[in-house]
Amino acid sequence: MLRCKDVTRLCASDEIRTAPLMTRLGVRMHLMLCRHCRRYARELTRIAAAARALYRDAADTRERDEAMVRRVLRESGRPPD
Amino acid sequence: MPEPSDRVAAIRAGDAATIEAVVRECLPGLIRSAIAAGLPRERAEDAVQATLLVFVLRASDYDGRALVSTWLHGILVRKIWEERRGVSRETGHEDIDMLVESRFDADGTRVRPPKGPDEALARGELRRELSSCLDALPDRQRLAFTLREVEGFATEEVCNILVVSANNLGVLLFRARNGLRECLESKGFEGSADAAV
Repeated sequence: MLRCKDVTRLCASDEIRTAPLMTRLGVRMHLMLCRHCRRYARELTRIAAAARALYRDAADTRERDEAMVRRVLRESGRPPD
Repeated sequence: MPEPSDRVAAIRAGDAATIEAVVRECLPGLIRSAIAAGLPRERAEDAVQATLLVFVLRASDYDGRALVSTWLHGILVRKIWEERRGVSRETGHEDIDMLVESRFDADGTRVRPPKGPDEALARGELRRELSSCLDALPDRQRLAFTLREVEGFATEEVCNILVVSANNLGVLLFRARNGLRECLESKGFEGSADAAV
């Protein structure tokens, strides 16, 4: 039986992605039974989602990006059509 | 997940339309990553521009073993680290067991369980606070985290980009995620118990 410690480590370090099937099932099982770890795992998911939104919104600079694309192609001698 | 072989061939042959498409596709992510590596916006743009210029001029060096976006991120990150020689490699020898140990007692349960539900958690506010928590992370941790979670690279691709072992990446991600979680908790954010994410 996996302990909270093992589940935390597996989730936070991404080791779960390369873990054997039995370990991954063990994590699922543990998450069903343990509300602390469930909360912990959900918090990590939410933080990742919020970070995604944060970076993608902050970098919503399409015009600037397009200007840069043109600059790169121009400087490299490959002007866009 | 390798780059499709016809695309690799087009890149290597210097096909103008393909090169332009790659530049356009990869540029926003590269800028985000340069910022995540700790550069201010202006310098992030300079670093990305230099990276893309290398790509356009030396596209024939691309061997197709990694995704082209992984390859470009690798060039960018090496460029940024080189400019900042002496950037601390603080996680080099750290062992993940030690890191985990301190948070749990002998039977493997949490010393400090996550706190109770807080239904009043406004999304906008979480983002604002998260932004300052991200700023507080060491550059390498922040970059590892955003490459994984914002850019969506697979774990092996992030290892490739940062030139670290899987174990070192595990340490970086573990520290970044727990650092963010604890930083938010210290600002009064607590995950809601069983609400949908």
